[in-house]
This record gives sequence, C-alpha cells and structure tokens, in this order.
Amino acid sequence: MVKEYNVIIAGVGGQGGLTLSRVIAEAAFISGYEVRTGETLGMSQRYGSVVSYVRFGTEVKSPLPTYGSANALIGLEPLEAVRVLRYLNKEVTIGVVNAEPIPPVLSALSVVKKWGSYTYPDVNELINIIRSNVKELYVVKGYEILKRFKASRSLNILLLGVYAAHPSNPLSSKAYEEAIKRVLRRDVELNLKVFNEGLRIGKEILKL
Amino acid sequence: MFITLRVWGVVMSSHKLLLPPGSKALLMGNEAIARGAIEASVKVVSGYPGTPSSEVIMSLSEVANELGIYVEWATNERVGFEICLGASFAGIRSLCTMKAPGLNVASDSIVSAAYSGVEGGLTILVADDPGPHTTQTEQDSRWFAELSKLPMIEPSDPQEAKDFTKLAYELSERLKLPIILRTTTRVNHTVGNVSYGDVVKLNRVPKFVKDTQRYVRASMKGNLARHKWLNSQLGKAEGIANELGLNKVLYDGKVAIVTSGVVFNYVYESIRKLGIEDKVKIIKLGLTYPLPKKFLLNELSNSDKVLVIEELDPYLETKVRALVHSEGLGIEVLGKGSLGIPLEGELTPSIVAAALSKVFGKVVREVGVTEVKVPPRPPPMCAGCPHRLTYYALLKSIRKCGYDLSEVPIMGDIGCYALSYEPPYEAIWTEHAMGASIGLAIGLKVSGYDKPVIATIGDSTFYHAGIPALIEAIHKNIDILIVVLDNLTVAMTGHQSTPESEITETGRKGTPVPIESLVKDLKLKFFSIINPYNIDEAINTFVKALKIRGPKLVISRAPCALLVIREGRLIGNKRYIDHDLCKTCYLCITEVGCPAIHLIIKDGKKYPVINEELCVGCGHCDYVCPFNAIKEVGGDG
Repeated sequence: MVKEYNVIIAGVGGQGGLTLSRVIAEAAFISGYEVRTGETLGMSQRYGSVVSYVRFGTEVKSPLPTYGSANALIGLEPLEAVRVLRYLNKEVTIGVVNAEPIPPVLSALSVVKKWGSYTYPDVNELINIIRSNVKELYVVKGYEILKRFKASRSLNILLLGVYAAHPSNPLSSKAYEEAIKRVLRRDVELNLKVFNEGLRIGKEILKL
Repeated sequence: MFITLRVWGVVMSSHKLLLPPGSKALLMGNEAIARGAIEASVKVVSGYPGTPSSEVIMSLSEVANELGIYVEWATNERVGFEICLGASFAGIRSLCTMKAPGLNVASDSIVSAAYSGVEGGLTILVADDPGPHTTQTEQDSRWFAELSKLPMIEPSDPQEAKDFTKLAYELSERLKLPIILRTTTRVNHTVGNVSYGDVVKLNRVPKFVKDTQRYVRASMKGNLARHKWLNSQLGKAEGIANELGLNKVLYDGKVAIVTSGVVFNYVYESIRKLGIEDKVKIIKLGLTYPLPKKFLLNELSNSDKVLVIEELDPYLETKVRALVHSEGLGIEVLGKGSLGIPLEGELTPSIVAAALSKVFGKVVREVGVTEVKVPPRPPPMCAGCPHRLTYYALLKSIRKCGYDLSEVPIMGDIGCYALSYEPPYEAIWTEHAMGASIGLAIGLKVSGYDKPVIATIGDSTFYHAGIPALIEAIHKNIDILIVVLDNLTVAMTGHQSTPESEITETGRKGTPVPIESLVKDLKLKFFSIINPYNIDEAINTFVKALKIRGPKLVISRAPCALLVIREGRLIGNKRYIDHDLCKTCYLCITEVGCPAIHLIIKDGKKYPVINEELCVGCGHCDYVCPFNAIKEVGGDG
C-alpha cells in the first residue's frame, strides 16, 4: 500500500476529466485505499479549464495536493497540461498527454487586434515544455485512435489505459475495469474496449 | 449512481445512498450530507440550486420517492427555508440547502427563526466558496451565525459531512434552534471514503401547537422574552457539542493550532510531512459558533502559543484572541498577518505547509517549476447556446436603432448568460446579485439616464427575485426593456427544474407556471415571445421594443443547447466551412465566438474551421457569413 499517490488530470470542460477522476478514485477505493478527489473548474458547463486531483494512500486526508507532488499527470489537452506545471515533479511524474489541441475561443478571436495576444502556441512546443517537467512522458493522438472505435467521448478512458500500463501505477487493471463499470452510466462495454486499447498502446510504447 | 447488491441471496437494485448501515462507499461531500439527512430521518428537503451546494438535493431527489420524503427545489432560498421551517414547527425534521449568497436571500426569515426556534430539527446547509470558484463574492458566512445567533458547525471531509449532518438534528432538537451547517467548496465537492451509520427511526405525525408568544413576532414584550430564551439556549450549545464529539484534539505538543473545516486536512498533512507531531496540538473545532470557550480554555491551558489557521476572514482568530486576552492566558496568538496566510482566496496545502515550516524553522523542499504563460481559457457560452443568439440580436438591434453600443447599458444577471461579458460580445455591463438586473436598470432610468436601458435576466433568476422588480418597473412606468432569457432550466448549476417545468425535481407532476402567465394582465407597453434561433425576427422584435417608451418585456425562449444534445437531437444540421468560398473575413469568429470554430493554417493563411463533433447546428455562423461559405453537412452544397 502506498502512503500517498497523486494524480492530476487537466483538460477542457466536456472532455471527461471529472468522470476520469471518479473512475480512478473508485479504483483506489476498490483497492482498499483512503481516497480524496478535488477539482478546480470554471462557472460554465463546458469548454473552460478543468483540473481534477485524485489522491489516495494511507496518509491522505486533503483533497488538494501540494505543488510538485504529482505522481501522474493525465493531460486531455496539451495547453491545459501546461497550465498545471506547478504540480509536476521532474523526478517523479509520469505523464500521459493527448497532443490534439482544443483552442480556446480567445485564440480564434486573436484575428482581431484588440484580442490579439492569445494565439494558440505550437503543440510541439507545449509538449516539450511538459516533457522537461516530468520524469517520463507518453504522447498520444487520442481522438484519432478513438475514431476507429466510434468513441469520441472516451478520450479520458483511453488515456487511463495508457497510464495504467505503466509499472509505477499502483492500481490493477482489474480495479480500473470494475471502477469503469461502477462509475460510467453509459457505454460500459465500449469503454472497457477503449481502456484495453489504451493498455495495449501503453505496453507497446513501454515495450512490455 | 445505481449499483447492484446482494441481500440474503436476492439481487436487488439499490441507490448508493440507501446501502445498509456499516456499508462503505465513496461519496462526494454533498452526497454525504444527503446520506446524513437520510440517517437523521429528514422528511422535508428544500432549497435553491447554487454551486457548490446543489448535489445534496440532486442526489436526494433520486431516492425521495423510495423513501417517501419531500425533496424539491423552491423558487428561491427564502421560500425554501420557510418550507423547511414550517415543517419543523410541526415537529418534522427538515433540511434547507443554499450557497452563500442564498443565505442573504433567506436571512430575514432565518433571523426570526432564531426567536421562534424549531420543534423538529432543522439544518441550514450554507456552502461558502473561498477561491472564489463560482460565486460573486467570497462571503465568509461564519459571521452570519453570530448575527443570527444560530449555532454553526463545520465538517472537514465527506465522512464528517455525513456525521455532522446527522448530529446537527440532535443538536437542533436539544437546543430547539435551527443549525447552520457551513461548508466550503472543498468539502462539498470532495469525494472521499464514507462509512454509513444507522437510520434513526422516527414516526412523527405533524402537529402544530398554537403558541403566539413563540410564533407571532408582533408582541415586542414577547420578542424580548424570546431573545432572552435564545441567549440561554446558546449557552447550552457548547456542552451538547462537546458531548456529541464535534470538537476534537489531535497530538499533545506545546504549540496549539486552532483550525476548522477543510483547512484541518492541510494542517494535518503538513504536520505529518514536517515531522512535528510532538510539537503541536491540533484543536479542530466542529462548533464554530458559539465559540466553545470551555473546551478551548482547557486545551490551551498548557500551550506556549496558539496558531489560528483558517480560510478567508480572521473569524476564529478574533475570537481566540479575545478569549486569550479576557482570560489572561498571556500566550502569543499568531494568525493571518503573522503567519502570512492570505485574507482572500482559498488556502492550499502548500500555503499551510509554508506557514508552518516558517514557525517551526523547517525548510520545505522547493520544487523548481517555472510557470509558463499560456492563453487563458475563460468559459464561453456553449456551441449553439440560445443566449448567444439573444445577445447577438440585442447588440444588432441597438445599432439598428442608431445608438452606439457604449450608450445603451445592458444589465446582466446571475446565470450562464453572464458569460456574455467575454469577447466577442462584451455585452453585459453588470452582474450583481440574483434579480438585480431589473432594479439596477430602473435606478439608472430614474436617475435621468436618457438612452435606452436593457435588463437581461434568466428564467430561474426571474422567478427567484426578478418579479418584485418587474412590478416596480410597471407600477412606476419605467422606460426599460426587460429580456427574459428562458432556456427552460437552471443551466449553470447543472440543469435543475424551474417553476416552468412540467415535472418537478423528484419526478412529480408539477403545474407549470409560464412567465407569460405572470405578466399577461400587466400593463406592459410591449410584450413578445421570440425564438432566438430566428435571428431576423429576434432583431426586428428588439428594434420595435427599443422604439417604444415605457416598460417592455420580451421572453427569448429556446431550451438549453446541452439539453437538446442530451436528448440526442441537434438544433439544425451541422455546418462546415467551404474554404474555396471563404474570404477569411472571420465574421464567423468575431460575430459569433463559438467554441466549435477555430483557426487552422492552410497555404500560409488562417482559415476558420468548424469542429464537427462540437457543432450542434444552430446556424449562427451560417447567418453571419456574407459569402455563403458555410454549408450544412450532408446538404447539397
């Protein structure tokens, strides 16, 4: 049993980050851990920055982690992953990031001079920034992979699968699968398939 | 939310809030409060949606029919509180939920309730929002306990959220007073492990005993007597709270740390990480009004100094300082200023760890991460949001009437439509408090402002607090245009039902109260109902309205786009941009501001593209495109 394990999930409202935090929390709960989740979200239903924190371990009480304490980063959107750099740790953090950008409305509006300072940065640049702040980084093009499964809403579960393949992750795939069944209200079978595809991709990258 | 469990070999489906005593589950703080209410045998639950408090009623409404209890949203917090108070007068346990500003709405009634007291236990959940994450102010509602003279208790995590909710009813019935259960976002929205307790068995028949001195506030002599009664009840609060175990102490070192709520967790983890358990004594207060003085004095009697670590105002600090001074303890009290703990924003484990390491001369390992400046992502109105089209039509109509946008104020109100303050519309000039748009517009007119003034208000906000101001506008013949943005739901807080809904939150058949039925006999100078997706009609209607003097009302009605998608429908056919026809004028971006449209670079030129996944076919971009470059997907081009 680990004493403290912190997962940071960064994404855009509507991408399923909050649901993913519930799935990981449930998997940790099934595995017998004390669990806490927290989230930072804007006022809207969708499209704002959303950060979720999942913490589990024998010593965990706070819903928020300290800066620099992330064991894992799951980035559903590259810009949003860069926004949570202060939680990352070069010596510890394992990152899985989706490389497909969702530009904020303000970036499109940069065509007008008075709103012109918010151009979406180059994705490779963003990935490099993340890479230099984590121990290991795995980059996927999630939505492209999900087209094959007609599962565009399952980016969260795909990235979970990739992350779950990493040996430093303390929870079992069986726990995640059970958590997916408990937490998701819709498309459980499809999401289990997507999770396993994520696992396969993760193992392939890791050459396991 | 629904899980399957086996009881005596029979598979039955049960909601996670209804698992048997001794069960363990992962619950969000608000679900835990709901479970606490179930364990306390609460029979009447009311309130008004408000982040971060809404999930209590949302989750209870899922089991209300099974439990045979009343769980419904009220028109506003005050009505909700009065429903609960009425039930409590009859000996029935009740729960009222609200966010901090809702407490202000209900406050007239709550302050009087301290004088009447209750028979059946009554808990008022007040969810504060340090941060703030989703609230107009960082109101510290702990002061309201002192003002209203009602006991306040504060849980620190989901387990305590459940336990304290249940205990609140015992405290409430023993003191015969409503109890304020004060939480913060990090308690309401945290998910954590919860162990279930027994469900209290109560078989109460509602019985209201006439007692005029107690329930009629018309006798000043009676009010004076009840005030004396209230003060004597408050004197008993600490004893009962200590008996119920609401205040706790951890470790036995010489430096006392007084804290409460979620901050306790930050203090606890920091102390463990710094390895200073032997140096500190954590005094965690569950009862934060009235201050548990005996408990504190006893615990502080052999302390060398006291640190008070709390979020927002120095509420506990002020009280602890006064206590230490008046009792002549002669020990140093360190709080906000001396510990470097901010008065604004929420605390974090990092802030608390830094403050403690300074006091104990420890070094926290700094992690050298540099922040990188990236474009912000303020939440926009959703793709296809009907509010976007209403504001678009309003801004167009103002210009069509020959005014500059800078001379026609649009008052905003509380709801998703307040996001119209963002580019590209930058539409609303104010967002103040529930229902304030209309009153503020009236004030501007009566002050002599000679250009048109517009008040925009959502449907639920209109029911909540807009109606009295509308009456004022009509009675005084005020020349304003009121636009009710009616998306048939309380969207921002998670799509709760409104008085317009045919089905109530728990699935009962309701009698819809349409807005037009409230205004049809009023002497409005102009009244119309429009569909904002009919853009030309919307603009023409607003132009007509702006040209008429006097009180005018337009209902702009279309269901929240997210509800349309949830039903598997679209507003119209999805669109795409034909780049052969696109002249890159970017009007589809600058006139619309839709999150489904972004830019790509093609042949060295920036082209707008529509994310087909996100497009819901509202046709707004199509309408503004002067070159017919925006086409319907699957259309004949």
